[in-house]
Amino acid sequence: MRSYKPTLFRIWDVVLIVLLLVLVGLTVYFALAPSAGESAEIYLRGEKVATLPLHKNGEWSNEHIKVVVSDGKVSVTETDCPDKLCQKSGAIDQKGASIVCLPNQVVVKITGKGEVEVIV
Amino acid sequence: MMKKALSIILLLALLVVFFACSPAERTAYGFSMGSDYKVSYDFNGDLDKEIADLFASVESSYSVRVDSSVLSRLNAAKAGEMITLTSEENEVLYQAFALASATRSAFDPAILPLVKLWGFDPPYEMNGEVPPADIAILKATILSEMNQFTLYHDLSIITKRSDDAALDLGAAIKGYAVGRALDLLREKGATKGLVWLGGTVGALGDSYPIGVTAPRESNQDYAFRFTLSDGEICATSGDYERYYEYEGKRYHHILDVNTGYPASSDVISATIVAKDGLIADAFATAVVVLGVEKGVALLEEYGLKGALVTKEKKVVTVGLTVTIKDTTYEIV
Repeated sequence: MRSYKPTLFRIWDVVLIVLLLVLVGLTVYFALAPSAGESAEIYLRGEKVATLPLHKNGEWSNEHIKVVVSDGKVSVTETDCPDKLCQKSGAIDQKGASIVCLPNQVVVKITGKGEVEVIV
Repeated sequence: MMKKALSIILLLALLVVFFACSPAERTAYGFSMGSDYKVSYDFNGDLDKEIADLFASVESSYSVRVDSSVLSRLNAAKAGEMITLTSEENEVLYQAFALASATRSAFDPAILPLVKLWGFDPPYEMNGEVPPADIAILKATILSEMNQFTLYHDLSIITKRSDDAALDLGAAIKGYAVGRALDLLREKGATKGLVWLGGTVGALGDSYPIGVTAPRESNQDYAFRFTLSDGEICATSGDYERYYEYEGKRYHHILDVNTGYPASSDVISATIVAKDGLIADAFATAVVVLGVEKGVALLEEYGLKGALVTKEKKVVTVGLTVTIKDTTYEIV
């Protein structure tokens, strides 16, 4: 019997294959699962100040306004602005939807998976 | 040895491909012209400052809430006083005059006296408003006609006939600003972009699905969607944006200068798609005033696309393919 030294895999082949698998895994992860779930992003004067996942109850507030996630939807529950348009906007849960409070310079936007980029 | 080198080269190539696949998308957020803006763009660099500066400059030129703007100076001027325009202001006003004429004043930039009389000017509190008396409406209607103003386009000068006449491009200037933002992104070499300014949206380098709000529902879900293509801008006007109720009747903010009252057409929401933002914005307002029959004719005359929603929840499309989501709406 002839001795057989396996040459199919050498150390660099193994490294290459492992790295390839990792890259494939990462690609699939980012391509298919861009978001773990939908969430509400809260911006104050153009800066993101909080991200609230919609799958659990939560809230964010400052001295002027209170934003609450409840039952998978986000709404403004308290505000000291004169017109209260943000509060009247109701609860939102669709990607692309937003609630804007101009006097307090607060914007709440839904991000994540959805059929539309924005809702006008 | 060769094999090892080859492996490493291959690996590096793969890494480059992998990271090149995830674009460097940036987003600029802020407030301008009484609205929030969100500009997402693919670019190897930061254009947030340029975008903020652009919107600030449009606002400082055309907002009636900025005292030094050309419109504030014109509105504060006496009858017959000559206001000199920059070449850009001259072109924007020229286009606004042309749009008022094209829409038979359904889009009327001179409507500010009527808007104020009805109480639809900022801060939009809409608490306890009472519709004005007929005689006051008649007076304000005369003041709100475009013929109160004369634009001497060749001389870059504008004048007005009455002290109290006032111009307000609020219904269209966001569209203009979105168009300018798309131009900025294009000039800088951004490959893709989506510009949002208070509900007026522009697309660059790609197509984007856009949802249109169900006009009478409050949950902000959308009634139908359509695709906004590269270089297009869409604007939506609806009678649901600002309104008040008095003795059981609903009064909304889209006023018709031809009657002096809120538009009472069969269209409650109009989304218009055009290559030019000022046109999209002006026609969106005009079509809500004009109604389905005249609105569709106008869009066809100017080769524009749009989707009109009627009181009976019918969606009338002109050159636009829409997909219904809320099945209480029906395409006709």
